[in-house]
Amino acid sequence: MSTDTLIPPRSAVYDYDRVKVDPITFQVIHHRLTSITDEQGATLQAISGSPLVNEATDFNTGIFRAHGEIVTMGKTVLLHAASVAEMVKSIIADCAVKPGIRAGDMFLVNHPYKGSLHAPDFGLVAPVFHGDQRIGWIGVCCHQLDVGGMAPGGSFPEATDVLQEGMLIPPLRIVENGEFREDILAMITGMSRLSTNMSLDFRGMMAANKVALRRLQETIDQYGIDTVLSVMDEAIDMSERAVRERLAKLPDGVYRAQTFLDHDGKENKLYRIHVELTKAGDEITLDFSKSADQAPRFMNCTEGGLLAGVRAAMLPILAYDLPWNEGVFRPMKLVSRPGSIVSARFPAPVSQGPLGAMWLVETVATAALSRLAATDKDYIHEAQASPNGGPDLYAFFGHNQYGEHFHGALLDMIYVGGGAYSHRDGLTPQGHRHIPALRLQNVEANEQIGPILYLYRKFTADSAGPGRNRGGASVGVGYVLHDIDHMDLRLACHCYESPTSFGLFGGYPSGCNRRRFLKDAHADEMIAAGQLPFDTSGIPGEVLTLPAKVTGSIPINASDIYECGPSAGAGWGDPIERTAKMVAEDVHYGFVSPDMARVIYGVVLQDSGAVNETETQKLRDAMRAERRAWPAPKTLASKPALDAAGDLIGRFGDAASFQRIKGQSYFRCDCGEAIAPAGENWKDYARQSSTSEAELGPRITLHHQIEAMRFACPHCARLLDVEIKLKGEAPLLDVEIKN
Amino acid sequence: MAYYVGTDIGGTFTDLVMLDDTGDVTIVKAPTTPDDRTRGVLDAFTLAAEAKGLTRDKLISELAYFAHGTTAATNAFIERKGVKTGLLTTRGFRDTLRIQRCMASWAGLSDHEIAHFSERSTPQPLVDIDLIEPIIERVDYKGAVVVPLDEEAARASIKRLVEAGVEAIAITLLWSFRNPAHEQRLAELVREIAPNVFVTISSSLIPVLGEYERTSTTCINSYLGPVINRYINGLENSIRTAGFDGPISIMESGGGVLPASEAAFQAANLLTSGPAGGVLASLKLGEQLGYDNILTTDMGGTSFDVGVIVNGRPLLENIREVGRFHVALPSIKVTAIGAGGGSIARIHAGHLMVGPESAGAVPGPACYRRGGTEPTITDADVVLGMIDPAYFLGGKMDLDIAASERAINDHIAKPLGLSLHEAAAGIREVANNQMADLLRRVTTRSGYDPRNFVVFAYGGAGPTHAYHYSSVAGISTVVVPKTASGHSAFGTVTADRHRSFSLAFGQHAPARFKRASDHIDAGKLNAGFDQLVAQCRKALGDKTQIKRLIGMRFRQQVHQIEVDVPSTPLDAAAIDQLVDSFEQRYEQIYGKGTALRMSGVEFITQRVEGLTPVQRPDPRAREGGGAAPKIAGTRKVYFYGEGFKETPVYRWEDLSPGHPVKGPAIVERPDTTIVVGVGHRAEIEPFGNLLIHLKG
Repeated sequence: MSTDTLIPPRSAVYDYDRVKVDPITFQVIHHRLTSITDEQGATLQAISGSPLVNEATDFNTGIFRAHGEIVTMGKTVLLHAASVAEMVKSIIADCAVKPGIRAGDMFLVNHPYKGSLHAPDFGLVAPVFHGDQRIGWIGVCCHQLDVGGMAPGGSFPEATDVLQEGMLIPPLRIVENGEFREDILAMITGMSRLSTNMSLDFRGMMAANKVALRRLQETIDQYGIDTVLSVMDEAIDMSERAVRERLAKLPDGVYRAQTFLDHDGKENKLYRIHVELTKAGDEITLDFSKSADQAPRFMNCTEGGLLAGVRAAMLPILAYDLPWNEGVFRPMKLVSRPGSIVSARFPAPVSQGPLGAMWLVETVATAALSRLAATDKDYIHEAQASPNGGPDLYAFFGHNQYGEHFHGALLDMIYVGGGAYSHRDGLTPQGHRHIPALRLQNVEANEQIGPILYLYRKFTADSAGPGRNRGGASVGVGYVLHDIDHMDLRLACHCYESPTSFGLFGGYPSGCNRRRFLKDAHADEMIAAGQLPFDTSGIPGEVLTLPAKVTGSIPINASDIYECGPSAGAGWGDPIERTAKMVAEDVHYGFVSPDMARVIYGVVLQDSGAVNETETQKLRDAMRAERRAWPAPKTLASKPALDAAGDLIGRFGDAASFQRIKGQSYFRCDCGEAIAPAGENWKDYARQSSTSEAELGPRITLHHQIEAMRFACPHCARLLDVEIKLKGEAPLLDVEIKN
Repeated sequence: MAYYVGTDIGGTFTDLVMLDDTGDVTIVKAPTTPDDRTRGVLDAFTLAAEAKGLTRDKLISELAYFAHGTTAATNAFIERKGVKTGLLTTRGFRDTLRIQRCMASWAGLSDHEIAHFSERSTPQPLVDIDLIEPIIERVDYKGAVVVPLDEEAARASIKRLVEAGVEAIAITLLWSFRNPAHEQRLAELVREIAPNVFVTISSSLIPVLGEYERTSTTCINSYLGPVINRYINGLENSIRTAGFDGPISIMESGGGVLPASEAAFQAANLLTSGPAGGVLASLKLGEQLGYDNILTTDMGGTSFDVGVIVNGRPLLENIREVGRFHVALPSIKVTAIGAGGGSIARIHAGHLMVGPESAGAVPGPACYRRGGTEPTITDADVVLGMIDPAYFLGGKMDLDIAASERAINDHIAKPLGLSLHEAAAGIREVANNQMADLLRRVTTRSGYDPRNFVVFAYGGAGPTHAYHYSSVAGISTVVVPKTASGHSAFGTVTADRHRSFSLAFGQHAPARFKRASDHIDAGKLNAGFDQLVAQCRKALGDKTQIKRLIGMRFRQQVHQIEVDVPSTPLDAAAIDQLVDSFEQRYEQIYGKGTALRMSGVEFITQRVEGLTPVQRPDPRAREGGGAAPKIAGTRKVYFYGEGFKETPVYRWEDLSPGHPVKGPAIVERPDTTIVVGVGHRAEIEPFGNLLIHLKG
């Protein structure tokens, strides 16, 4: 996307001089614009039939300036913060000359290389005119349940290019003079297996845009065009100034994070997602160049997807209390390597991108931004450990109990726990991080429309990443078919053999995505006999071994049982610093198993569930002693005394800091131990141990190329980091603060 | 003389509105007595008696009707002072209440609180995990039993709860609204094992699809039921002891009052009864004045609450957030934003924000002399001359105008480079526009145009701001009720007896259907309505006015819309007509061309509402043509964009019908100050309410 192609014919865009708007009028108009955006979202939700729109709020709405700059955006799916804006740029580039952009037009886009995140995301975007000159855009983007293509659902490991992944609509003028071109609409919805749902959504999007167009026009009529545009541009500048001020207070440095995506849909290979965040002055640059080459199958994301992932990471950390608009993103520069997994070249397949590469872009960007935020005691509050590692996408396809086509959007995999913070545990449950307020279906709603019977829906023990502050726990479910004999099950996830939800400052990764397919378990016979396998552990049947991503579908019949327990939120801080009482409560509430309490938290419980204080103290002492006995590749030749006075350069979370002591800079644990010279990777000087799956918890699987390393302070034995890395590679230098 | 009394307990004051046979209206306020709220009610009776030159005993002996609105449920809920409650639920689904459909970390929060991820939390569960007992049983979507109820295990579960000391038990099983047998049997077992334990079963309280909402509502009902029971008994004893033997009614949230004896069983239904009372009062007053499209606006110390009345009926909602949980009983919809007299004005990242943070009553606005230093809307009102600091609460509270000026100067005027008065007027302008945005939102979202409504303004701060937020929203007329500061109490005494009964129907006409009647079982539909009507008549008597409704949606949609159902038995043509009615209403809300009949239509929930008017006199009309109002004084009042205007000040009691007041003007009452804007015109109408005409 080079910028010079984005500039439309000059005459089309309204040119104006910004006027000074008094702060009162400014606030009145700004509130009006925000409420227009809310109304847009409410209109779409009311009309759309889709649980994705209504429950998962997988859509976004907004007002944009003439070139696509975000003026307002809804607080729905954060990933779509980039979608509509990027679509606008494509519309201008592709349509400004022919067929032209006129008042009363709306453009439909789902092309992943033209702003959409993947083919299921459709945008409907309307230009806003003042006279015959364009002043901005109104847009809506929302996820469709089916967009045609080789199989239902819009996401398939088989596809080798984007053209197989469903219909591709480049910017297309589908609304003229305020009305749908019904013939074209019919053609497009006719390419979906769920044309009715798509029609409902499109009508909702059109109604949403019309509401916003009308209300924006009323506002312009009342206050005058130049005043309203000045408010839009000033609001963007104000958010930009606030984010720049915030960044300027944090230390300059380089903050890195990486993780590994497992299984490309074809082979169980690993793909690195790597970010190097350089903070200088009041700007940040996120460089993803070291990420892996693009994959042959569907989990790549486009450059637009990369932008979406980074923006989703930024909003809650840098702009939690600011109006969300273009200004938040202006201090951020993005660097990537075309042809890489986070910046795929057309026609690479990308249908799993939002849940694949883009997900992990958000994960590593969140981690790097959190490491930056955690350098300052006044800002550490906003730093967070990873959200869940990625959803385990599964869907039942076939006919439901009424003989209707069933598409299987159950969304149970979204009931996940959140990442831990320095001051609290992760939320149980939170739902996907980039969906601020989601709402999921009742069991009854799903059983009403789908031919399934839930065995349970409950919190999954040991899903949450351990830490001084624990990650949030995820919800697991078990299903059998009901009133139907057979369906097809499609499965795809990552974070299956690679823990991509990693902790911060000694916190542990959360469990991987886990599923259990029990073949020929005689579920139907049990049900006929009036029994339901509430607990499936003792049920006879064959446990199928499934790869992370299943090509095609696997048949499921009424005798089988399917269970899923997704990844959860990662932990923060050394787990053996969690109070034993809190761990006992975690066990009581079913978030942590007694085994995990002992192995990872070092807490021994009595049969009653109460803490055995003596044994716990002994065990924790022993764990610290063991850590002190781990090797360290290097040792500091001469180090300052534990109580030597030092000047703070920047914090390393709430565990350690970079300090200058007598003219030398050190990485220093909060116990006083100077661990390493600040110019080197502190991990080379820390006690360290490669950690087995069992030591990480019962729900962790490590791909054969991956190892988990724990790093501890040589003096106090506090865990400072748990890193998931490739075997044979040097540990990541995560925080490098410039003097 | 017979007296009819309504009372409403608020956080600070207990309001009492009394009608007598002649239609005379008396309004008094007594301080609320949180340790024993009944005392405040009796104090209010004493004040009302004094106003009439009677003793309290004399008044109560002549009392014909007593209706009461209470925050007892709300207070117990917010302060977590309900009873220890156990829950029986289908095995495998013990965590439903904590999962909250993934809304646990954001329900009940404002948008800006939701965006601040690091500050979010999940609520303390209403029912401790140890008190949730899994029950071995399972029913499917057809209502068929998949796993029979294991009564032995259930008995053991109930005994465990009783031993743990629960005072109440909630019972919610999957699909119980399709087949209530297991829930009913469990209730029998509880009664058998622990006859004194309060029981709520979901299939009778709220027989609709959605196990989370049923669980949450049922638990809240059980959690509050015994509290309400004790409260109502206490109140009833006091008032009976004082000599009253007539009917007692309790305000609920759904559209009327309940007999006191039923209140505990509907405890969850009392949670938003205060705001509902204000809407119902407006409805009744609207009937008198000839308005049937009304936006009710209640601006108090912390929030601005809006209700909508269309064609003489309040808009309802099926599910509402209460605290951090949900109640799924149809209730009068009241939408609130954090804009009240105590809302704080702040500069944040260059933006002038007003609310939602509130200084509350303590420390309160800077001018309250209670330690508040941040500027609030009330401070702006004082600085601008809208409120006379010497006549606040009729002069009972001396306001510190210098503190208001200091707060606004330091926090707003100086940082923004504005004069004191520009800044104060700016605070009002921003707040009033936010309120106008809300008026637009609540009407347009339901498919209406705010310009076709009149605004009723009440609450302490409503009348001070109404002329402005209403005119910004395009409204022509504002009504300030005579009962403005005791409007909810007026609602309790005038409201009808009301009950609502629902039934999940759950049939649909599939995609591309030709006639809905080919797919919908008319016999079942009619039988359902017959059953609901019988329930309703049983609760409210044979004379009750019955309204039949059905909630419908297009197949695959999430939100349902209610349409009226004729009272004659439904035949095929009538069923097809329902689809037409639904489609019309749908397009009215969402716009022409948005309906999509081909996707199929679901008939979801049958509902019957009953209303039985309570006998009470109508307020009396006054003759016009009294003396022209005398001006109590004049003062300089600063209007945004207009600057200072020399403004006449009137006392409410000096106004009489037939003498309009030209804006700008101030009309003062001890409980509120009414501002009439520049170019507006106000008059007292014959029933003693003030009308402000915004379009001259």
